[in-house]
Amino acid sequence: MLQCESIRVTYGSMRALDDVSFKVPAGDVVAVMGESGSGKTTLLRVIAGLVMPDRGSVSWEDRTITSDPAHVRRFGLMFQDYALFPHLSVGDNVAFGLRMQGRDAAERRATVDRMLALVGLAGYTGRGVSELSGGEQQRVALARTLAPQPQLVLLDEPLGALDRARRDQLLADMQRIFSELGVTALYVTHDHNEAFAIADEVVVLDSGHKVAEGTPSDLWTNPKHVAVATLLGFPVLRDVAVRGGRAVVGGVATPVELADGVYHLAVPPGSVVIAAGGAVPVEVHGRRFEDGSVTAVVDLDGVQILAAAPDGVALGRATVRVDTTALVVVDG
Amino acid sequence: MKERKNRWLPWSLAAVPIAFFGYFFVYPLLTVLVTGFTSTGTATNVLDVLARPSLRGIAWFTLWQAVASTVLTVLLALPGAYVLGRYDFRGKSLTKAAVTVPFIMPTVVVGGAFLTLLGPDGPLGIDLRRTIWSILIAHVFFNYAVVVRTVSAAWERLDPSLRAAAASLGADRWRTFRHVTLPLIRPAVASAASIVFLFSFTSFGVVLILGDLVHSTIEVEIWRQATTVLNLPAAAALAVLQLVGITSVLWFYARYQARQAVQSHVAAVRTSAARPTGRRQRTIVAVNLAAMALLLGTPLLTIVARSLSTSGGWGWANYSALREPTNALFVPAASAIGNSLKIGLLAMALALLVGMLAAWAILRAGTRFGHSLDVLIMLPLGTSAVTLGFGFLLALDRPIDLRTSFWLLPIAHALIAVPFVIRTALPVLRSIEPRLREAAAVLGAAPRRVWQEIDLPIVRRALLVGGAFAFAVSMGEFGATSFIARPDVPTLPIAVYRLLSRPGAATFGQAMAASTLLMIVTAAGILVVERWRGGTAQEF
Repeated sequence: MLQCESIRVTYGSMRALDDVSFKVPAGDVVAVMGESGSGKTTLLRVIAGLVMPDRGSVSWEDRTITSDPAHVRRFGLMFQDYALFPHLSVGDNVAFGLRMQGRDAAERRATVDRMLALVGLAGYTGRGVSELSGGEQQRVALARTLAPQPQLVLLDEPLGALDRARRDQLLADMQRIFSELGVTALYVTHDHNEAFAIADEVVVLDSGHKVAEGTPSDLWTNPKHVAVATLLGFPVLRDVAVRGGRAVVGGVATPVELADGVYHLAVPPGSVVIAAGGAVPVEVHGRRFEDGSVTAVVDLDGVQILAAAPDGVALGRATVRVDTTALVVVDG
Repeated sequence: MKERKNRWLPWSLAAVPIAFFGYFFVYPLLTVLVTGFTSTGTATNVLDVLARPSLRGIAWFTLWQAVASTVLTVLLALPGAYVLGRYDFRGKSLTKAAVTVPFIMPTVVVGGAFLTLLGPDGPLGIDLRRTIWSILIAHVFFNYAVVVRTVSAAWERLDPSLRAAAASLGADRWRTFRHVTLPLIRPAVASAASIVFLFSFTSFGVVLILGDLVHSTIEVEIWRQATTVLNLPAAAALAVLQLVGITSVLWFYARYQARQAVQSHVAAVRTSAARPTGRRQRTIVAVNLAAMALLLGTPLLTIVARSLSTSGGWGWANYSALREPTNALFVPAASAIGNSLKIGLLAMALALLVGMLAAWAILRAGTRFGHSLDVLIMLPLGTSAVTLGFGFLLALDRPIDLRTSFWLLPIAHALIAVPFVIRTALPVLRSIEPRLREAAAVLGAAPRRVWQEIDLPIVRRALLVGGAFAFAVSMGEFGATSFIARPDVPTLPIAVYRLLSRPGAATFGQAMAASTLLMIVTAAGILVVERWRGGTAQEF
């Protein structure tokens, strides 16, 4: 089990990570999700041993490893841009970690073949890395990371540079490979689809702070924080005042089941629908045809919201029905 | 935040290069400076020397011939740079390699070539020896490559869409050149011109042979004062004067280099060269190539031809005569070949060792320390070799007298060659993404192993190129060598010079034969460079 305790990293006067603690239980895949600049890559580099934290500790199986150099940790790190060694062949890239461990040539060859087969690149051993496509490079990087049987696999936006079709394919492959090898992994991404697809548990970072943590379904039903809602693609109505069981939404007092106070309300998909005779007047700015149905882009209290709409929806004035029971309170 | 880094590593890496440059470069040079300012003699100090009309004349000649050489070289080389920068054609890389050959030719060979070409028996039939023209032409021949290679590289990197954009905005061909192309290549032209100026300003071998002391640069005069007139204070004072001139040129060069770094962002495209289309473009390319072949090929061919012509027609007599002892040398000229090869290989090994350590130190050090180290090690490139050789003679008698040591020449040559090693290795080392080293570390490679598995294999080719350069530099070095070579251990350039300075057709033929051998060995070194250079860029 990996355990991070109150990690702090500062770059000059900026705090890239501040008081971040979390665990990765053995055999689990944990995703770290955050916008760019949230500190997620720095966190990965701290765990890998490439960055020394100013404060806090990293421990593995109850042993503190904070000041161990990278090369003795036996963690695997897959870089965002893969960082394949340009002067080595595919096979030599994959064998690198095994060579560092002093494995003999026969064993190296066998492991390389097995790993390349696992990632679907059997027979690529002798190729140069520069002749590979982006997807193939990604697979070689994965094989290189897994070959020395790391105790923990760290992945930094591993699908970031790929197009969507390839991404889905590789995501499925990675899931299969991770469960086949029983890998413990930390997966860094900004994409909630990726995080939710692969992770047992998700940690969300915002400006260097941990703002939420939970299973994918926990986070989806209760995003808890504006940053999480934003990553999930939920628009957020900020500073909505509630008094006597009513909130003013779109200029109209709407019943809500909340105590008096001021709230940020996340709007999950489907909770706003364009309907003739809806209670709230809005302005329709745009129209999209997406996944088989029409969606209208409407402006609600200065926030852009996608609302389900009838086929012939016109730009201009319209009314919407807001399902206030679906709105979720989030911290800001 | 602390990136994991060993703070003492750059210092320990730098220790050897700093000691080497401190003792063999800074110390001798300071000794020259101190001698120039303090000693008493017939010419007591810098100011006294400058007051002498004959020396003022030499200073003036040095300056104006350098300006004239620079202007001529730039004007004559620009069309070639245009053709190599704008057009792609079969044999282009071969052309680039061939253009570089004269630049790396030993100065004595170039001097000898023009002595033949412009002599009364030369193909031109006019005697231009001892005239300023022979010196200017030789300087153009010698420095043509600097301008062509630097400027064509800048031209090649120009984004072709910039020209297209100018055209779409209504600029005709001339105005596009005037307002778009020229401003973008100007820094390259300026930095090439600075280098040409520097080389012409400190020209030694060419002026010594072609000027025959009728025309003499400061560099030649330092040598003459120190070795013939034996007026060491005057030589030292001239060396000080020379250093002032060089420093100001280097300052100008550094300023333009800094600007050029900004420019390279503007033009990030790798190459914009296109195949010539239409009769007009094909003619431009053909005419330029023919001109290059004539300008650069003729002098070298002349040497070969003269070396093979004997009193009894064509033959190898001049070559076999190299095995006989002559009164020009204490030993057979052929022994110089072995000396040169031995010294060249030792200088190469030394330059690689020191250059490699320095390059890694510069890479790993912080910007300030790295930059200072970089400047220190580049200094010999801008220091006159004669001054350096003179400094060796003045300074290196204590604590142990190294002046008669066989190692002095390899050390001097390595000093001059180290900048070449660093300039080829550093860009490659810099191009290695830090992530590759990190990836290796995460995969279990300890720091030393990272260096061995990542840095070394990637930079190996560049080191080979740098090593070949070092070898070629050592083979052709004449300025410093003329001071410190022991009479019984001459190098090939020394042998060529001694043979040239003896009258008689026979010794002249032998000089040409030795020149040809020198040319072949040097060219072989350069061929290795061009073959291995491949994709690796060189910071010039």
